[in-house]
Amino acid sequence: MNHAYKQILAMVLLLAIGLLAPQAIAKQQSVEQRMEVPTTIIVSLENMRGEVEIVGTDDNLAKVSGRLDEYATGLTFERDGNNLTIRVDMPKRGNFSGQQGSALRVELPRRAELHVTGVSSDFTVYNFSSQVRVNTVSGDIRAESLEGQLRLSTVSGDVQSRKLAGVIALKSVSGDVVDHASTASSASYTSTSGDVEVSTQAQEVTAESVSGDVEMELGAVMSLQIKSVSGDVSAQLQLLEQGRIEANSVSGNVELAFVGALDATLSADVSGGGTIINKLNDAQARESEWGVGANLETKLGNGAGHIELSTMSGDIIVANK
Amino acid sequence: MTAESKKLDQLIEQARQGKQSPQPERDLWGGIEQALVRSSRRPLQGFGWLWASAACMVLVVAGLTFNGLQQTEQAGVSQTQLLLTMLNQQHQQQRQLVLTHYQQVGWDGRSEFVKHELEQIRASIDEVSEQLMQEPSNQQLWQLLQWLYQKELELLESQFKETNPLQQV
Repeated sequence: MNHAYKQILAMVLLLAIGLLAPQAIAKQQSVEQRMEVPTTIIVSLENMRGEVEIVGTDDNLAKVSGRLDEYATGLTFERDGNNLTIRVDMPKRGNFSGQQGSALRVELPRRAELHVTGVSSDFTVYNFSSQVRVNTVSGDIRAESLEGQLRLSTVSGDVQSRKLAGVIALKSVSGDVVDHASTASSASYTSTSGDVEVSTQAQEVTAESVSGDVEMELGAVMSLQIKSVSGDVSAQLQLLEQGRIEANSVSGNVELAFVGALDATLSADVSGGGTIINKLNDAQARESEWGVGANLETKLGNGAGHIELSTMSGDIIVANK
Repeated sequence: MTAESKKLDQLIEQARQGKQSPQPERDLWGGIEQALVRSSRRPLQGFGWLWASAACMVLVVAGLTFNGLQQTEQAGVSQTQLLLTMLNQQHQQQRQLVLTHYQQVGWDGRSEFVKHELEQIRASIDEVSEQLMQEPSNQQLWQLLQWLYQKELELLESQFKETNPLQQV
């Protein structure tokens, strides 16, 4: 009997250890680390889950503070020459179903180059003036006051930004892309099912969507390229002398409103059941002799620029603002 | 005296009597008219043959041209068809490469994520391809088709990434 009791007791103890071990791992570690770094340091930052706020400062210091993911095994904070690695280390395998992801604040020199990666981690990045790349899967990205080569990409999260400058590329698959008060020289916006809402002064703009709608308030534009499958596209802009606009959609509507004088040749083509509405001048769209489709060719002002719009079955509307 | 000299004497006597224009013994105008009509018809009949020949030539040339155009058109259509088939095959291969690549590293791509958008893109590829058969010289349609191909591949990749997020880091 004693032997049997011992066996049962051993099993109960083992079970208790097994149940308590994850609780021990689940405890979040607090971190507070800093080191001196060159102002143009190249930073690689990885965090799987949680939230990370990354701030550019005028100091030549790199600081990490906050709490690590409840499953984290530690924090890598290492410098190798001009490269700095900040990584929340996680077990290679595991069921990370707990709610407590990392909650970190990272301060870096403003001119640092950032390469940020996450899975379900949200990132907030602001006040940098070099290259910033952020990639996350289901996390959201918020960015403000960034300048330089900026690439912000998420799969199912949203991208929200303000006051971006330089060359920017914002992308989400199922999330929304919202960019306001941007003074970028070149801007690219991509979404699949999410919507794109933009106000930018960029002279070169591209926007792509599958089913999401695209709404753009643009400044003086030299080049605008839009592609959509079923999402509706609307843009308000001024076309610069010899500027070029190309917009293609399958079934989405394309609506352009022009501000100021417009000098361009306009070619609009509807292949299927859509219509062309021209409010820029008196030119009328010619219906196809086969009864399906329509085409409009007209010259506006001195005709220096080029506007080519086409859709399979959507509507094309061009007007003055 | 022959009959001819008698007739000549008779005509001289009539002229002396004041009869200036001798009349024929019978009305010859009908014959003259027929002769004129006949003579005027002859050259026309010659032109008729020419016209007929020319018309035949025109018909033959038109026939040949039409046939040639038909063949050119058919060749154009078949060239478009050929190009579309080639592009579609190439795209299928690229799709397969993406699928194989991710499946080889053990990623699961079975997902409802962007399923609707993928279906839309595939339907759009068919729609644009059909329209290209009608408008093979529409540059923008070709570009749209290329973009749709590229978009489908991107979405397939994002589907794997979304389904297997832990593989990202």
